[in-house]
Order: sequence, then C-alpha cells, then structure tokens
Amino acid sequence: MQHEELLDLETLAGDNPELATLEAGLRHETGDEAGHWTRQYRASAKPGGKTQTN
Amino acid sequence: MACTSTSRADQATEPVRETLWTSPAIYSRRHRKSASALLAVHNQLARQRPLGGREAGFLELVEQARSAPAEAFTRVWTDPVAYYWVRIAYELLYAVLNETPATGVAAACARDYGAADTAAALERHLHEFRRFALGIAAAGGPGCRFDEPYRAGLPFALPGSLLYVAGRGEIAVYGIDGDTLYCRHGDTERHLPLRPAASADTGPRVEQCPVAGVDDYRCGLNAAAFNNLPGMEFTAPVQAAGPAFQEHRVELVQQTLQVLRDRAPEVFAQFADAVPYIALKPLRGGDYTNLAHSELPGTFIAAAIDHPHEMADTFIHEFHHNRLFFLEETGPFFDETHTQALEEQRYYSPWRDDLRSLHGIYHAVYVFIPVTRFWLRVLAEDPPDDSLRAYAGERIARFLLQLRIGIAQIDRHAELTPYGEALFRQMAGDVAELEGLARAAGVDDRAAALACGADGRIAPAGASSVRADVLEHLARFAPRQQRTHLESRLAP
Repeated sequence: MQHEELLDLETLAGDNPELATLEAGLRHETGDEAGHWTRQYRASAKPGGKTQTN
Repeated sequence: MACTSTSRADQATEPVRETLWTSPAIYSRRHRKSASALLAVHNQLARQRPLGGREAGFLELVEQARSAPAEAFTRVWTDPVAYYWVRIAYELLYAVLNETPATGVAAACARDYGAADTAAALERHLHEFRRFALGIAAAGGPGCRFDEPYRAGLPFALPGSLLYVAGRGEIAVYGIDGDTLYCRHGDTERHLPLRPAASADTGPRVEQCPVAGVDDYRCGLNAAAFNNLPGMEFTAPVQAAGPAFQEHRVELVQQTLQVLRDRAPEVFAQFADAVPYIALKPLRGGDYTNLAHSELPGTFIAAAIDHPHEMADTFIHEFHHNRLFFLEETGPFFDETHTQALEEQRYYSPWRDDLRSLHGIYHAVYVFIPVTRFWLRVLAEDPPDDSLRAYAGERIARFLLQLRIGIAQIDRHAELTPYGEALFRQMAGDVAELEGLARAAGVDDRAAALACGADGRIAPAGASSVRADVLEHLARFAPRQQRTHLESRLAP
C-alpha cells in the first residue's frame, strides 16, 4: 500500500482510546451509541445490462 | 452493535471535497481501527475466557503477531480479508459476551460453519485466524506451527500476498517454516515451497495469481482470495469461472488500468493505496454483475466486458463503493431516529428496477459522480472511434439525469447526520459542476440510448433517446407519490 502507515500492534496496545472504546463496546458498557462500524452493505449491480447498475 | 471509530479531528481541517474524493487518510484510519479491533477481541477473550480455555490457541497466535515485524503484520492486516475476519470475530464475541443473537454477516458465517451455537461459531472463527498467522510467516514474520492443522479449501490464498495454494479439495496446513509450507493433502504429506511452482504438478502447489500492472501499481486477479469466506454467499461465480478466466483477462485489466491512469488519474492513484487485488467473473455468472461488499473493503468483483473503457467505468464505480465504506467507518451518514435508512427498501432508484433504501441511493449518487467525470474526460479527448464518442455522450447524459433523481430522493426523504449532510452537499455541488461541463461539451439527453454488450460491442438499447429511457423507467418503477415529484425535477 502506497501511503499505508505501519500497523504496530505493540504501539496500538498502549495508550489507544479507540481500543478502549472497542473493548467497552464488546462489554456493552457504553451502549449502542458508543460508536460506529460501517453499515453492512452489499453494493451489487443486477443483471440486465449496465443501465441497471447499483 | 456498539463500537467506535477514530476521532474525526484529523479530518476537521481537510476540505470536504478532499475527504470525499481523494484523501488517503481514510485508508490507514480504517486499517488502524481493524488492528485495534483485533486487540480488543484478544483482550476481552483473555480477561473473560468465555470459551472456557478454548480461546488459548488464538490468544497465543495474537501474541506472536504482536512480536512480528510491523511490515509483515501490516501487509497481512491491510488485506481485505482481515477486515472481514475481525469484523465477524468482533460481532460473534459481542453476541457471546452479551448473550444476544449474532446478526448480519456474522450470523450467516455461523450458519455456514454449521455451528451449534454462537460460542461454537466463535471458536470455529478463532481457528480461522491461523490463516493470518500463515500470512505473517509468509510475509517475513516468524514461522508458525500448529498442533491442530488449519483446514482450508483449495484454492487457498495466503493473506497479505498474491500467493495461493492451488489444487482441488482441502488441505490441512501444519505451519510455515522459512520458505516452506507444511501440509497434508489426503493421505500425502506435502512440503510446498512458498514460490510459484514451475512444474506441471497437478497436486497442491503454490501459485501466484495473475497480475496486471501499470506504472508502479500491481493489481492481483486473485480469485483464490474470494474462497474460504463463510457467510459471503456471492463468491461462487468467481470460483466457478476457474483460474484460467483471470489469466486470460490480464491484458484487458492492463488496458483498463491504462485508461484509468489517463482518464481518471486521481482514482488510479488510489488503487495503489486501497486495492491490492480484485477478481473477474463472467457477465452472466451469479445473480449480480459487479459487486463490492462492506466486509471486504479494498476489493471487488467485476464482470468481464471486452471493452477497456466500459471496464474502467466499472472499476471507478466499484472502487468508490469501497471508498464510501472507508468513509462510513468514520461515522454514520444517516440520523435514523425517525427512518431506517438502510432497512426500508421503499424508495425509487433510477438505477434499479426494485425499490431501494436511502443508504443504497446515497451510495449510487456517490459512485456515479466520478464515473460521469470519467466519461466527460473521455469525450473531451474527442476519441476518433465514433461509437466510443457516442457512448461517452450517452453515459454522461444518462448519469446526470439519474443523479438528479438520486439527489432529489435523498434531499426529500433522508435525515442526514452533520457528517452525512456535509458529504452530500459536496456531492450535490459536484453534480451541478458536472452538469455545467456537460452543457459546455454539448451533451444532449435526446441522444440515442446505447448499451455495451459482453463482447464490447456498443449498440442501440431500446428506447428512442436517453431522456425517454430514463423517464420510461421512472414511470414504470417509481411509486406514484414519488414519481410526480421526480418528474418535475427532470424538466429540461
């Protein structure tokens, strides 16, 4: 990946607010308003030609 | 589902236009989040031990990943399949810890595992992490050896690389040491060198998927990466087409990437950031033509059409679904206090015969803007090929009418968050700009409606003109109360 920064798990395991929130989300401590994942979505064009896309 | 994203502080000073179309920051932000999600899954499993000790093997492998060189881990964890895995792991663990049913792709995955309950599905899914341990070892990390083998269907892709184990049936992988993968196929033990096999061996062997390259960018045609993905029901047409289908279309993809580089350079530049591989399928394979999925960010499946400009249209389209997945990781687009923007399939879309969700229309508006921009550039080059010139004009005219409808639908029905609203206003501004460029270029929606066939031949498509075609679709498929409003928006 051209502009990709290195993912260092040791660093991310340290002071990482996002990790703390993800863990809280798993424990359901912060409720459903704690954050956001991309909504699951399958973007697919249907048969029928390219005029029937998306 | 409770979870979070990184702060949007690093986006605060970035112009919305850059955020929307070109900023590379969204890619690393999402990869950081998926690595944090891996640690969150690890930490909560280690603290709560909901599987009564059966999570030990997974915990050990994550510890090994933590000590692997960051370069090796990054290569593996930026593979689209890593997001798929960690998202499902997170959702299954959430379901187990909170005693709630799994939903969405996690539920489909649990079904495909044949698991008796969510805990069994989680245990099975944690075993799947071993493919990433193998990927890290293949990427130069420490070797790995499993007491219990990792079973994978063939072809089996090594995450973080374009290598895969080719063959038929299933292999049981015991680990990687140095540049050798140790496995068993049936009753036969195999030591497979981690480099493309030169022999005509028909048994399991390591291969590299076909690669199309332009300038410094290499795009794998990696059908194997779409195998072994429980819960993802759409991958069968890629596997059914077989590896030769990809191999025979390297030149087509190469030509497509060249068109992208020349006519959509800002998009081409991002392929290197975000798309390590794709896969092709026959146009009529499966119940869809092209597909991008939120759980596989950074890749897509495209139907092969023997026309590089048409393929470039598809690549830009599917790439931008991906970019929007990355953007959506930062925060929701819709305020769903009063409407269910994803679930309610009751809105007319000019691109589909069935009614769609507002979320789907938002996606469509987003992806058709850069596609229209691409065709404007093709037209501006005044191609000597008459059919290509006519087709470019046709696409521009059609997409601008459809975009006007899509924007009207979002404007009228959606409740957007401030983030979703800022992005949408930029999109509306971009469409207005494209309409001005189209007028200046003499694009006319009274031009004949055209379509491009699988053989790349451009031919008249039914209705007399683009405008008539779009209006006919609207009259046929829009609910009456939406139709009247939309017809007024299409006034010349």
